[in-house]
Order: sequence, then C-alpha cells, then structure tokens
Amino acid sequence: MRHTILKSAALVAAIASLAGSAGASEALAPAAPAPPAPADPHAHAAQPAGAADTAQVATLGVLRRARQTSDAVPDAVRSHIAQAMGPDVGANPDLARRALRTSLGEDLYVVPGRGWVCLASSGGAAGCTPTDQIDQGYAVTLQRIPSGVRLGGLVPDGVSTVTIRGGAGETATATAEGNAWRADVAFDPASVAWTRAGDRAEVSVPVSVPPPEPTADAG
Amino acid sequence: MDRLAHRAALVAACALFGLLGLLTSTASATNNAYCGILIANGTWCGDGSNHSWVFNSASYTGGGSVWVCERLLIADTSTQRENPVCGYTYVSASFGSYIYLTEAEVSHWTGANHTIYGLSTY
Repeated sequence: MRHTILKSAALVAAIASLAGSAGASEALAPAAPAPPAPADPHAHAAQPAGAADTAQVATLGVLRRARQTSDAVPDAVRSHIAQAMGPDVGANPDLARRALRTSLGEDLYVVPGRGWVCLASSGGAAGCTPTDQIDQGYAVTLQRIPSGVRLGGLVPDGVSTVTIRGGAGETATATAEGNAWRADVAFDPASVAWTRAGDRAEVSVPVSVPPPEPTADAG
Repeated sequence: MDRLAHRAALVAACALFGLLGLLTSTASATNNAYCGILIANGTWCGDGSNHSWVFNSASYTGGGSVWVCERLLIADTSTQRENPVCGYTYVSASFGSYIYLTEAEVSHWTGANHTIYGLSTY
C-alpha cells in the first residue's frame, strides 16, 4: 500500500514536472500541437506542418528557441523542400532553424515535418527521420567525398559528442550544435554512436557506405 | 572565319539551352515515382528513364529502420553523377542543372529484401 502511494506521488510529481517544462517550452513555441501520425513519403501528398509538434519540441531544443533571421533557408533549400521533403514528409521551411555552419560554409537546417524531422544541407543533401526514431540514433546520413566520407545527423537534447567508428577500429568524434552534427572522416564508417548526458547506455546504429563507383562530379 | 561562325553558333546554342533551362525551372515540376518493389540488399533499382532530374529521394515505409541510398547515373552509363546519399528511412538530394540526361536509382543496405520507393523530379 505504502509503495503504491509512493509510486502515485512520484507519478504526480513527474507529471507536474513535465507540465512545468512543457509550460516553459510553450513560452517560446506557443501552441505546439500533438504529434500527428508520420506522413507517408510514398504518397507524396503531405501538407506542410503548421508548427513543430510537442514531441519535436521536447526532443530538439533548437526548435524551442525563437526563429531568427539566420534561420531563413536559402532559395535552393526551399526549392528542395518544396519539391521533395515538403510533399513527402510535410517539411515546412518556415519552421526551420539553422543548427550550425561548418568551417566550409555549409549550413545545416533542422526542418520539422508531419511526424518527421529533416536535416537539410545547403549543399543539397537531406535526410528525414520519424521523430520517435531520433532518440534511437537513426537520424544519420552520409555521402562519400574525395577525402573520405561526410556524415551528419540529428541528436536529441543532452548529446554533446558523436562518435564515428570504422570497421578496422578507426574512431572520430564530432561536436553536436543545435541538435545537429557534421563530420568528415578519412575511413569508411561502420557505426555512429552517442551517449546522452545522464544516461549510461550508449546509443549506436550501424551505417554503411556503398562501394566506390565511377563518379562524374568530384563531390 | 569558319571557326568564328562555329563559335557564334555555339554561343547561340548555349544561350538557347540556358533559356530552356530557365523555362524548365520556372515551370511546374514533374514527378516520377519508381521502384516500389522488393529489392535485395545492395541492389540498385532504377527508373530506367533518361531525364534532367534535379531531385531524387529514396524512402522506406515499412516497419523498423532500413538504410537507404539514392543516386543519379548519367543516362545509359554506369557513371554516377555524384556519390550516393544514404541514411535511414528517407534521404533526398538536390542537383543543379546538368549537360547530360540522368537515370534515378535507389537502394537499401539492411537485411535481406525490402520495398524501397524512389521519387525523382525535374
């Protein structure tokens, strides 16, 4: 009986705590809607998300901050979203936040969709992930480049460092900024891993790079 | 003189192509859904067409997470226009205008057989 009461009290406290943090979020992201069912990319008929939903706001702190002038996506990214990620997963460029700018001048934008979140690069590549799979480490993309492999992805709040491991024991790390990260490595990566602050368990997913083939463009 | 005339013709042709490219970019996009069948790990599935694709995406809509890739090949060759973009569940790439026609392809690299959808746009 006593255990039940203690559990109930803990539950009430947890709910109050969640309500409090939700209230704080609402100050910056008013009226975040409940998460919709993820759009079906194959249907190619999704309407743009009207606002970042509560799951997206709870997972990605970058979506809790107010939008700034620097968050405006360039025309090329807007066109990419309009033709592909918009109708596919409901990505809305007007909700985007610029997460980071690399030393090479590439911008990465976090773009909410309908049950999805996309990471769109000013360089032309993008990946979208169902919101509930970001916590599981699945928000990763990569592309072979002349010097090796370029990787990037989304991470939930509390992740500061991402570790990229190669099949032969190689290791590289990347620093997360605005819930996103970017890394160029000189080896073929086999996994991407991170650990959230306060967690002991590492989240790790396998990745693979298609074998090199003749390519017209160096990039 | 012949060389001058040839150069002038070349400039005119380039201008025409540029104008056509501009018209194409302002016209409404044409989408082509392709693949959508079970394919084996590491197998590329193409649209088999030759077009001036400017966007190509690969998606997996089944349960779990599958590593998918997209790429464009220069039409009727095995030469990639750029290296594939890969990621879990959904990836998309944007391409600028190009002098060659291309074919769009998608693949997956998880487990055995999965249905992967491709969508290209010009």
